[in-house]
Amino acid sequence: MADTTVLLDAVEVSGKLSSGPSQVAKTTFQATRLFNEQLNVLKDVSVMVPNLYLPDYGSRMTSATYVRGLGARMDQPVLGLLVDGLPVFNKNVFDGRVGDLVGITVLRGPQSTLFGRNTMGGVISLQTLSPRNYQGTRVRLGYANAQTLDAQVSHYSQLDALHYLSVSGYGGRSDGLFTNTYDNRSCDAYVEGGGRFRLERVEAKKEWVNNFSFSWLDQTGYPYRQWDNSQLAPIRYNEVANYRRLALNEGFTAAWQLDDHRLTSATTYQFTSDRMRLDQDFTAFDYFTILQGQQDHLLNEDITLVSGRRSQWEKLTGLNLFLRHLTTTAPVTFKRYGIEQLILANANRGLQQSMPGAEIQISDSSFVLASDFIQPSLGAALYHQSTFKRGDWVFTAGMRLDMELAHLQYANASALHYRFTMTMPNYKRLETAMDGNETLAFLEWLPSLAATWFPSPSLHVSASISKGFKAGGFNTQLFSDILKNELTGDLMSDLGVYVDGVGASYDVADVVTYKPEHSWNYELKVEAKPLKGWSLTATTFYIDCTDQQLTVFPDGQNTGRMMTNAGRTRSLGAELETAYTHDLRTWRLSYGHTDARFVRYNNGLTDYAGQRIPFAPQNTLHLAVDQSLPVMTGWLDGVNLHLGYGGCGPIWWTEENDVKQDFYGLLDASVSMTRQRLTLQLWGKNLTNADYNTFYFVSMGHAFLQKGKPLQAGLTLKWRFDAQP
Amino acid sequence: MFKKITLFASLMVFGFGFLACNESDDNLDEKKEVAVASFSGTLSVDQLDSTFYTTENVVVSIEPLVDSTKTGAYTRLRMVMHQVRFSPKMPLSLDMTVNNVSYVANSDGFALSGDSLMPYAMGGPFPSFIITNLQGVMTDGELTMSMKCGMYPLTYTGSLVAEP
Repeated sequence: MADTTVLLDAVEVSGKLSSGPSQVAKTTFQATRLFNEQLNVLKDVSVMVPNLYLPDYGSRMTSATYVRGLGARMDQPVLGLLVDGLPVFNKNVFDGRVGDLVGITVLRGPQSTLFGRNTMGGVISLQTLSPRNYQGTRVRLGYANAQTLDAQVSHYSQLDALHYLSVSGYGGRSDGLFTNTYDNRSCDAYVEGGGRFRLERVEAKKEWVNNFSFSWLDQTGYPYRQWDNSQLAPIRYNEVANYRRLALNEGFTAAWQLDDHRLTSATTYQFTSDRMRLDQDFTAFDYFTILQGQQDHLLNEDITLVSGRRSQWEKLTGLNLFLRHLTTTAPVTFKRYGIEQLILANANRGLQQSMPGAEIQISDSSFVLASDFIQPSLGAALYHQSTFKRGDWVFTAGMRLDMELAHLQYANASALHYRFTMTMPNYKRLETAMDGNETLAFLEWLPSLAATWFPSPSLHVSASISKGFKAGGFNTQLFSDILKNELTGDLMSDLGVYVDGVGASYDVADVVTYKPEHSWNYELKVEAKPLKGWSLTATTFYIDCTDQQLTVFPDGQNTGRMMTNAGRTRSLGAELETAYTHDLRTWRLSYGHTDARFVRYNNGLTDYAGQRIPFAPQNTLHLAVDQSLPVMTGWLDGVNLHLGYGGCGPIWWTEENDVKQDFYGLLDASVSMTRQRLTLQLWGKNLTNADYNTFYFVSMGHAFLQKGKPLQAGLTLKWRFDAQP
Repeated sequence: MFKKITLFASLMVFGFGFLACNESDDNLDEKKEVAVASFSGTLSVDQLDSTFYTTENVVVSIEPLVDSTKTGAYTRLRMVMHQVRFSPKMPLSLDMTVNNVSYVANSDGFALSGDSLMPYAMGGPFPSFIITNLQGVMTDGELTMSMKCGMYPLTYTGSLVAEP
């Protein structure tokens, strides 16, 4: 069967994501397009979908997602990710390779009624090839600049009348595109591997699918460059920075059909073990490093009952339960320069004004700020959605009751040896500890309403109102800063010295948690097919968001990041998607515009009302043309040409709107040549080698930027050995 | 120069002028013992330039060092002055401790005294700023004292704020 076949995955089977017209903004990518445009991982569809921005920076642990002005760099994602209908909870694994992708579906706008927490910006569903739809063997080999190699082999077979099996494996490596000039190490080299095992049983009225996959990744990362006084320094830091990840995913989906009722159960267990090592100051000086390790276990069960699909009243009722257990160790090691600059300089600043020549000294060449966290959480949800069909109209109403309980147990400790030269001949051991617990509970009603008018088969008009919800959480990444300040404060207190502004500056109880984010999304959509081969979708939206979660950088000589809640924001915009196919040529245009601003946000120092929300682009644009050329030569069956241009911007990087990335665009192209079951593709991305930034942040009062990837080019070879020619 | 003055001034605080007690006091029927107590009040430091630096809400805590019930009415106490500044230009505040301040019970409360006492602050002793001529009176509700720290005279008057 051809690559373009899209299997109804579990979500579609359960009725949550119909393959037909949608009442919310929806973009689909099918297999041919995925191949022609080299869409291999989630981030590749960034800006191809209006108002969707998935910046590529840091490492593959970094999976910031922005939709329509919503989104945050860390913690809770604004988008839900589904792979073969099973939710992926851990954002750290969003940027992972999924072999034999045959489809990507992106829904924009809150999907919280059916999909629950952290889907207020939408849902991205990835579908992989099913052995039910294809039997045979597929081989894929790729080579690109920076010695980038990848290989994949998959086999799909029908075992007997009821059972289907597929097994696939992949591997890849790259030298990376960025270099740390301190020691000429690569900043984005990687080695990866993984596999997928899928077994399906299909009977007349019941079926089940078992999906097991694993992936392993070892990469260097974080090509950040210091940017002070409008001068961009080269990547230059002295410590190792890398990321390693092992992810296991087991999913079991079963469905029973009884008359007009369909019962579906989707069970998933996900395990992620990852480790991030960072030179946290990203300078050539010995300030400090962090080694963060996480182990995440997630068990999720989703049961849905769909009935009345053939009637005028279709009902979907569901129950969702999840249990999660996340453990994190994140020791920060202060090196000698960091001790001198971040602790002693601060502590001695006041002392030496009154006692010249006297100072506090620390004998340790380094010391550790140890931080351990245990975060169990559980959730339960009950949801229902009814769809009424009456004449040219379809009305949908849904409601979800979502309950969640999240707990944080933290244990932080540190010790060092110090003395005050004026009074202490010997060094004294100083220990600081900070332990505690926090619990958050959420109870949310998440309604949605939609109406669609079908005046003709080629015109649909939809209006919808829906509520979105992003869970609150814990600022674990701020604890190293809190502990450093506690340590400084304890040292001063142990000495009996008090200097204004030195020592504990955080109210732990206040900063350790952040609140859930809520939104109301109002959307109007027109979907039309004005001419044969021409499709057009236009959408406008208004989002009223309270307690929007923002990643902010604490003031002063601090290095942590924290989530905070902006009082109120609003986002309004429009989206256009159109495609025209004629004579084997397809033109595509997608454009999104978002005006996202703070309505009420005062952090105690500055009133940001009216300022633009940072990190989400104001515009996204994608233009593409694909041309298929049947070639009847003895050695070539067909050629496909693709030319695309994708861009976004401006992107404001700060709440003050004083730093931004202007609009930029990247040109990509591919040529695919097919001979029977063999396809050779030459491709290129960022062909003009455009210079742009993908990330900005501040650490210890210094600004840093990451440049986007430069020109990339390569070739891909695909073979198919079909079981039935 | 002013830094030196600041430093001297800061160290003057270590000793409080507890009222002198007669160490051979024969008022043996007074067997009262100083209890742990804290006072909050006004500290005034002579800057030796015809001006005084005065700070309010200065907390001084008192803690007995020796059980006097069997040795008579005469014993010693530890005095800690919390988060004090001794000059307007002093950018930090200090906790300062003076041990072995003598006290003796009398009809009004306790008379405090001390001479050549070593102040401790910032993790160790400050021998250059020996407390001299410490004299004071501590009643149920008030502490009044004067002393000389190095060459800088200071006075303190505080009211009882807490009894642990």
